[in-house]
Amino acid sequence: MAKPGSAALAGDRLLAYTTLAPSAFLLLLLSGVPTITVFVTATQSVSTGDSSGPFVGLDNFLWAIREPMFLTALWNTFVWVFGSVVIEMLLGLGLALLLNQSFKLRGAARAVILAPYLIPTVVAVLTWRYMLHDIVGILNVILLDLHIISHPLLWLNSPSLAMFTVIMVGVWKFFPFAVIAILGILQSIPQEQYEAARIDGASSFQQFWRITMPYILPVFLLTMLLRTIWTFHKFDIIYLMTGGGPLDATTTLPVLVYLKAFDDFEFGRAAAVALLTFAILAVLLAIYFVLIRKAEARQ
Amino acid sequence: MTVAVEGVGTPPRNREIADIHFIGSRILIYLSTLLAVSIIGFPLLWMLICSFKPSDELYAVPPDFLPRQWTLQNYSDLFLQTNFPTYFANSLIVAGGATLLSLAVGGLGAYSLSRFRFFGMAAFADAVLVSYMLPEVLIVLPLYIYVVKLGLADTLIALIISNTAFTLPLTLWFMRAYFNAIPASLEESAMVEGCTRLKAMMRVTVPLALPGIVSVGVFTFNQAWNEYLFALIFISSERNKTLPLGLANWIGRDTIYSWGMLLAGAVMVTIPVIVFYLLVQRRLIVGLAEGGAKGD
Amino acid sequence: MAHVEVRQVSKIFADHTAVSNVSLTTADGEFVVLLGPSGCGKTTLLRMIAGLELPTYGDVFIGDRRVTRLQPKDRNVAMVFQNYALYPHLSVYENIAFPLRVRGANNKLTDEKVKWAAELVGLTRLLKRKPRQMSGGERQRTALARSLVRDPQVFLLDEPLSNLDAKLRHSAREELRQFQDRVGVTSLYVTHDQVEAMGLGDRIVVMEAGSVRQIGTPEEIYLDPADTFVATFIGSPPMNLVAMGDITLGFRPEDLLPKAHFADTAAITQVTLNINRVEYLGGDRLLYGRVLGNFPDTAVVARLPSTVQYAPQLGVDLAFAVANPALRRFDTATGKALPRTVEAIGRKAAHG
Repeated sequence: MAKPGSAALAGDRLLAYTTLAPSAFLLLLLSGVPTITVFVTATQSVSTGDSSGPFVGLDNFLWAIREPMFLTALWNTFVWVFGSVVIEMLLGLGLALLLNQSFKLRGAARAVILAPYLIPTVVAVLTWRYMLHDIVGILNVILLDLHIISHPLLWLNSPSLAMFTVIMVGVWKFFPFAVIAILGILQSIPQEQYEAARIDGASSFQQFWRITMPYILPVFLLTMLLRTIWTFHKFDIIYLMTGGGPLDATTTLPVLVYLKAFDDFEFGRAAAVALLTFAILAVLLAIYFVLIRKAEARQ
Repeated sequence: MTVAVEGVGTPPRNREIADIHFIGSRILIYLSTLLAVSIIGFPLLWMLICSFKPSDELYAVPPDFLPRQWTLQNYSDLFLQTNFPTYFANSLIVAGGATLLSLAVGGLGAYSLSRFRFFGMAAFADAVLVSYMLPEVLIVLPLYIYVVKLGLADTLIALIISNTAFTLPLTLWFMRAYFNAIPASLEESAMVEGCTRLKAMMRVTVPLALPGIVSVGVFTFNQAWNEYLFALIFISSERNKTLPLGLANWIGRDTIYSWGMLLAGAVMVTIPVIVFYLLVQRRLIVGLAEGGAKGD
Repeated sequence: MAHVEVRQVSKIFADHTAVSNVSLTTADGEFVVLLGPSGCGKTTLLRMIAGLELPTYGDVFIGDRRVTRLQPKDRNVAMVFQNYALYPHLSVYENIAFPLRVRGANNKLTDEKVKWAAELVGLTRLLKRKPRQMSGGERQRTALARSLVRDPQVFLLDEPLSNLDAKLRHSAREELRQFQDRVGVTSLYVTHDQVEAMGLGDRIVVMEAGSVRQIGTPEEIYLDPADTFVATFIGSPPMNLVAMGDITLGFRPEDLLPKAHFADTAAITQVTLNINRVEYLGGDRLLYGRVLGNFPDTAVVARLPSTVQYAPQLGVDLAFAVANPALRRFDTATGKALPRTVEAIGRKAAHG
């Protein structure tokens, strides 16, 4: 069965499967088999470096849900995801609305706003860690000058502040994705919709709530979900900013998986945590797929 | 009622700027843009400026905004006293290798995904999306076992192949969209004129998809260029480190490596990204909007 | 209800002048059609009346109020857009109710008005649908109902029929005119379709390149075109033009008939016609050929009603004629129409 508009010829089937085979092979090797391996590993007591160990059933999972560290990481992950995504989406919406206006130098403004998203995470972390330095960091200097704070803040070294700091840097790095996604849909709203609304008597505020929001809502939600998924399993930015500390204040589930596997060398337990992480993610993924299908069906 | 077409005298010009609401909204737009751009752009500007400061100024309290003395010392230290050139070369090899592998394998597959719908292909397309969404920390555990078993630990080839786990789905997904945008009728007309399917694809579709291939190549390269976790776990020796790994190891060791050198390194890592951005500016916006690159 | 006046209005965009020094006034309740080829500035003119564009020069009046700088919502105008601009996420009911909702009208009043408007355009049974579930004609009627629901002083319609197929367009035109007669609101209607313009307009404003070429009733515009542009833009096939030195002679295809068709005593101008192709259209035949003899060799078209018994021969010089009252004269250099003096033309033609 060929796609409508494209004729299926003799030999097409062979061509299709032949060209897809290398991709399928690589994906099976790099995603399929590893996923199964994790399931196996999670049921074994195995230390990092060994390929297998004694079978222990669900012990690793039972350990995880009783382990305070796991619950801390779960809570941290929730704070990290919720804080990042909500701020990213609000900021993204605001700046997308701004960039949707036509004004001079808009291209330049867009380039600057997009820049954090394009630079490597390690660059973002380096720059911010210099800026967040307790003593020589420019952020403390500015805030002290403006009398917003009375003494230098320990941005990354205070357990109560570290998560806030990491979220701030994460938002700076990743919110442009929301800007671009929302800007894309904003620009697809036909101008006549607004003209009709203006003639019908709608104020700018009413135009936003009655035309813009309903129009962009599906894309807005989809973007939010996508950001939730990616923020959820984000590892490098947190690990590079704080290493999960101080006092585990920024240890999220992916960071915990890494620490278990490559600091504590408890590979089986790391695999169990990874699978629990994946289980939560799978729910989000399932919602994502349902929404995508709905959007496709509507077209 | 009289209707007249008059041509006498010119009435005064109506200027939009005379409208208070118009001025108000303009001022608001420019002010908020200025505010947003300054806050968002500041860290990168600061990184650039400080990379030209001599060490004593980098630790000055309070710091000056501009260097009192501009210097390239940090950059020359970076290249002469550290392994930065090695890291740079390794990153080029890894990102280039992953890009070529993904484009060659994924480009072909994406063509079929776009043009045919035989048994199992829809499911495969879903599988591609799922593998793109898999957490890195999940698959890095088993990949580590394989890498060790196969004796590939601390090699660039292990990095190239493991990067493909994410760059290949990216390529498949994006290239399929680009191929979808090229009407099948163009190939069909080539086939009616005597081309085989394969010839039609090479002569008609591939040239048309070339801009798409280039921008997918850029996304892929960028993703592999920025990749940190695989490098962190698979690479141990200095001579095989990539840029993110190398730079990350310096962070916090500011007794050995000066902040100036680190910032100079950060600038150097950013330059290829900026070059690529300029290369594919327009498509990048479209691509990102379609829900593509994770931008690590 | 109110009349609309446009006074010395120009619109200059960054790269071109869209409308240049246009003035016109409509009567209360009049249906005025702005007609012209695409890019002639008719839509820009309409958008300036709506308040979507600020005129670069000149003023717009609705009733006796100067509205040049007013926001669209303060002008009490309604507009039907080319693609209807229905709100895709709202039902037909909510689309029609939109102008009332944004004004904060209460539910009871809204409901009454929506049902009244829907009834008027025959949409009562479709109120729950979404725009994408409707045909082009139904969408057009929804847009009409939406523009109607708050008793506007002026109706502005921007090519509202151009997205319909040919058959539907005919019946929609009919409905539109009946509808306007019923509500009696001053209407400005933009189109590039001369058939629509002739069928709908009390008066037609013919525009070209940002300027008004002629304003008049459909009859005036058809029978007495102000210049050669109007003469060739209106009528299908267009008026035949034969340049004879300083003066260009014009006659409609249906006025060019076999000489035998005229009474011997009729005041006619003889034309020698050499036909090279005949097109049969059912109701009439189009004869494509060239005028020769006393006239400079020029391509012309004659339209013969099928009721006229005539068997045209190809490639032969034939005796045709035009009744003198049907002849129009234009200044060749400026294209402007010259006053009718029938004898003068006849004599000049006869002498070559």
